[in-house]
Amino acid sequence: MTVAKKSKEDISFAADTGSTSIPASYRRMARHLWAKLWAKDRTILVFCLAYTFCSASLPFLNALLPRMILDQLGQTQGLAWTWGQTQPAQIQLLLHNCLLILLAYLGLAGLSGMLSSIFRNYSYGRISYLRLDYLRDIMTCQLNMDYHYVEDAPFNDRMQRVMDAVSGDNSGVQMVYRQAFLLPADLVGSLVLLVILAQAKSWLPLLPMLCLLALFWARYQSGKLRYDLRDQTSKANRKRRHYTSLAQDFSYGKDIRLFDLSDMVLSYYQQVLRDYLDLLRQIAKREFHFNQLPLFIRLSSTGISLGILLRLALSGSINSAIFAFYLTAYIGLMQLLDQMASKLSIIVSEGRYVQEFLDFMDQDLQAESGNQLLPANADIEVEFRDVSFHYPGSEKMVLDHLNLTLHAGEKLALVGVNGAGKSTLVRLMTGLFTPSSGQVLINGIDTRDLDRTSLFKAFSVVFQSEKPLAITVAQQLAGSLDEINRTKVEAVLRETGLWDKVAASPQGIDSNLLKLIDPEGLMLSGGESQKLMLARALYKDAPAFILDEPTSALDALAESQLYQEFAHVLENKTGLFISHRLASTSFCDRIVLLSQGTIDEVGTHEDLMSAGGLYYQMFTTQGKYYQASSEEAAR
Amino acid sequence: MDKHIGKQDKETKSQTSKSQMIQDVGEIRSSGWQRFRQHFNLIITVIRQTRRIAPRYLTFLLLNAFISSLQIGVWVFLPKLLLDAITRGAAWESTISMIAVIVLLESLFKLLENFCLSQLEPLSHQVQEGFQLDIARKISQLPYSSLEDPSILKLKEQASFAIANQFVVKNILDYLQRAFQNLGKLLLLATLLSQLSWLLLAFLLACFSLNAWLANYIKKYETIFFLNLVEVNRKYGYYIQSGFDYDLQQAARIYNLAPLFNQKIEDINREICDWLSTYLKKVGQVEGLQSLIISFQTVAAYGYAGLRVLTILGGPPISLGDFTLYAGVAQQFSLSMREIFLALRGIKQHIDYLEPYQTFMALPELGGELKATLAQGQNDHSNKPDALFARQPIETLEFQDVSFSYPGTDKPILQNVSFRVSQGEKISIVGLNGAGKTTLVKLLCHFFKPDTGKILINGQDLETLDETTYLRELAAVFQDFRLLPFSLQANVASLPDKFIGPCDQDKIRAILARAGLDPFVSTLPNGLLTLLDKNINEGGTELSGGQAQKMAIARALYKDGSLVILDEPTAALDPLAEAEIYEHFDSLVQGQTALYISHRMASSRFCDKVLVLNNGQVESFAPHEELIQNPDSLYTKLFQEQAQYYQHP
Repeated sequence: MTVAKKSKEDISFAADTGSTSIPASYRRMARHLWAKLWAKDRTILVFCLAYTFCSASLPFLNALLPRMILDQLGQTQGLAWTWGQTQPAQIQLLLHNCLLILLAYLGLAGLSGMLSSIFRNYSYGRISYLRLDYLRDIMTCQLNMDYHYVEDAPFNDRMQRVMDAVSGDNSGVQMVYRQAFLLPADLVGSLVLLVILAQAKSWLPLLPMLCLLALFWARYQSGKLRYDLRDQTSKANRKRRHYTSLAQDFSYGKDIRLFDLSDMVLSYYQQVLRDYLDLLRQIAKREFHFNQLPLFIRLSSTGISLGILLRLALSGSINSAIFAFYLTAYIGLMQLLDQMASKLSIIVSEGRYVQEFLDFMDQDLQAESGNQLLPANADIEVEFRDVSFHYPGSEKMVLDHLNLTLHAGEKLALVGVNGAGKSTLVRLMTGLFTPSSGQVLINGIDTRDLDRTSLFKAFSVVFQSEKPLAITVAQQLAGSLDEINRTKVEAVLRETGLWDKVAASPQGIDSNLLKLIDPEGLMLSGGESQKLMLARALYKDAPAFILDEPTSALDALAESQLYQEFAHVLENKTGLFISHRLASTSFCDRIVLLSQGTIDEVGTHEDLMSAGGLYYQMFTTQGKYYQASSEEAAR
Repeated sequence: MDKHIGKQDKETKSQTSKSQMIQDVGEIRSSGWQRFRQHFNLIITVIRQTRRIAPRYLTFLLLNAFISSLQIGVWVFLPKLLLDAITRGAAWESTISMIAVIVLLESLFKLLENFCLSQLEPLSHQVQEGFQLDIARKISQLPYSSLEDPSILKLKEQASFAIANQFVVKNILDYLQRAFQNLGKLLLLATLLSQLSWLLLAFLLACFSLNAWLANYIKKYETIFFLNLVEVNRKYGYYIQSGFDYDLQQAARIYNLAPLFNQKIEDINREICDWLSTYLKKVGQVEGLQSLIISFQTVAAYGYAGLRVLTILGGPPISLGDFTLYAGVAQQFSLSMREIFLALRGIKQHIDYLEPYQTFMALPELGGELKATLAQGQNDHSNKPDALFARQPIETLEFQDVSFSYPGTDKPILQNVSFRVSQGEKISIVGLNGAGKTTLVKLLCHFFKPDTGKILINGQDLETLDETTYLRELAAVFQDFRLLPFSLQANVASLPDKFIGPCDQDKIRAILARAGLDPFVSTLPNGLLTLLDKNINEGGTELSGGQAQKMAIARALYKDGSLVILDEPTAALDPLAEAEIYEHFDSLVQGQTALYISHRMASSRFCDKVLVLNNGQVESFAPHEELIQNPDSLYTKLFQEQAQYYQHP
């Protein structure tokens, strides 16, 4: 408990130090995102350039149009005509000019608008790909990182959290890319308008810039607020989500009805909701306050700008067409600044999550692997030398100064009650974990010094309850999409007794498993899928086999049958065979009884029974209710 | 092979999981008008629910719309006022005060708008969560049999997924807010525009219809696109989830599965992006056309207003100030139309996802049934005085020729099951997986009704008994029992902490001791107040499988029912803990009638009688000693199979 708490503080501490050097971390993010873009899809850059050019011209054209029209219309001052009279030639000329202006506008603005929509949409699809590629990266990381991280709850929490940055269309990486794509157009567009305004008064552009700063400040503050409160919000959020799914979980239905729990569940659920909403309200309230400053600055800026422009117009230094030009430019600029501020603040706020993600991806998560190699297919001897082990974040010793040797060519049975440390032993042996103290030696080499890939190659393991994947039978066995030895696939299927079932389906070993992806897929029963896992172990045919209670999820009859079959198939293999059914391991050379992290007893079944220790005690307790009966039955 | 019903549940669950639930839109498109009415009804439902959950949301929604219309008024009149002043050659002093007024007005409106928005944001979350809460409430009102119906499970998952992951409610509310905001603007602008020219208004509306038609055209592509994407997305969701699946991680390393996943995902990524690009290209072209139409509208507005200045078509010439006003109004009108259109399209896109919610909320509730039984209870008032409050201990229970198959299936689970249990008897029910053991318990709990035959409790048909009174008498530990992430005492007493007094706590302690949990509880610093589930509750505790099972037993004991049902209570226990339960079984049940279901045949040794079920039929019902005499029976076979592990060599 205390450990978990501590590491949480560590994380928030790391985040704090991160936020002090914001510019550097954003530069790093930019470099990362740029590198991905450069490596995966440079066409986006071309699109971005084209989009910027088209889109940036629009605000300028929009300001120019009223000016030019008004210029023409302004010339009517002093002209007079009455109803029914033919229009003076001058009016006709003006009409002609206006028409030209409008057509030119339609051509330019229409085209730019159309092209910018096209370029933008073309790029969005490509940007999605970049996001999905990051998601693939983190999945690869999950599959390759040192195994102890898999079991590390705070680490997993963090991973879950950083994944938010790549799991949505409208958040994280994708959002930052999109905003970065759109931003240059706003920037260029507003520069053009700023230049126009500078002609009215050289310092006039300063006011909108000030507005932008204030707006950005407010968005930045609220982004920071949300980021600072993110531990609190994500906790409240997690709790809310958990209670929602609990209150909506059908599998609680029986207990809720029988014990009349629904009022209690709903009242606790409502309480959690109230807490969550209070937090949101608090955030909204503070954000409202942040918005006061930009509002004030913006309105002052508008007031001052209008005053100045009006003064110029009234004093006669500009005519009404130019006045209108400046006015539309000012209004257009304000809109652009709004858009820019929101884009920038999205980049800043989403960027925090992206940075966390990138920081996560930058870590070396495969530090455990050593560099010594095991010779391929050599016999394996495993020695545990004074090994102690506790799981990270827990102080309970799972293994306590354990000594054990699995000799090459030997079959060793490992028995013990649930939680005795049987599976842990397997994880240490295969290098998924390294011991807290002591050494695990494979052919005399400490697992810490061994290259993980080479070490993993040494073992064929059948796990407790691994489900097959929705890929073809052959792919499942070969563990690869295309490198498949088809004769070997057939051989191991025959050996495990699955061949008839597989061959009976139309696609044979290329049939898909499960019905999830392929509705015609092959469904396997619990026993059959464990046989498939055994077939995979045989396909790999590593020097050592490990069976980690592969049948415990089955019912009693199926379990004993299957274990016998497995034992038969593995008759000539080296390995470790784990079961909590004490008597199912009789085909092994030696039985090891694991209890409270140490080896209590070693020997054959007969040895252990005659020793009268814990093994004997457990065996008789388990069998107690059967003993008398067998006598009765024998009678 | 019989398939266990629990397994079926699990399968449907995984199938309806996240990955598969994307975009069932476009599934079947019924006729346009019907569709429209359906959508309209859904929107009305949303608004009604919103009014119930957070009435303030609607208040602020309308206020915001009103303010927006006032704001737009300021902005379209501003250029006119200024230009008029310039052409008039007005005095600087008078115009400066005008500007001051405008700026002040604008400040006020902006402030109010910000305030509305800051209120609306959390309120929309409140509404969203309110919808979720409604689903939860609804579930507690459903008859249990609905909960085992895979189609209802799917419906619930869809309804909840749409709200929680696709943010349907929140999105619809946001769009609704946008629609209303622009509606306010539109009303004002349309009024102004109709003053100027009906012709221009008509032209703008025509352009708008063209735009809407284009949008509808692209919708067709969207439907095809999403239909295609459903498949790809489902695949994607499956493989990416598998890649992160905890259960796969060991094998992924030992069998080096990373390249396989990497390649699979890369292929699907490419596929998704090809689809997406094709679709977005189409969208880009249509949106390009739409933006061209907008330019047309601008040109028309300026052209028309310019014409009005230069000629007397449509009325006397207007001033330059009026020119900017009309051009501005026309432009803003087009913008508002477009915004409303986008908002409505947004609503239309999302509203379909709410259909499962509406269907789910309309499912028949237990209430109707319950009322019927209560009415019956009142009729029988002479027989059952105070049926609601008095306890009616279960003395005998009898199955008379009961047959049952799950609703929607025709596979018989129980066939002509008859047996009778008298008070205080302890019955062990054995049989292979799928023999019907758990189903029998579900019938007994009145979660399902027998298709034929009767269940008699104290000689009365279960169907005529008051449900609440009857369930009060059952103390059951189900195979897949669930504990709640509340305090230890709340779990045992099935009551919130605030209703548990010191007396209750004493009783809880005694019960925990009986279930063998006292050594564990005494190690907890917070004792009975310790919260379960470390993931959710800081400082909470995580129970081991065995401890959880003991907790479930304690909860059943606390209820003090007259019929105890234990379904596989030792499945998660190791042999020693299992033996402990066996040995204390008598003290646990203390003279109550008990049904005990177990895979472990040994359990039948301490029960009075064994009910052997085989393929839904009663094979035998007799004491262990009697059954074991017959060497060929299923019972003996099962017993021998397990016993062989434990016999001395």
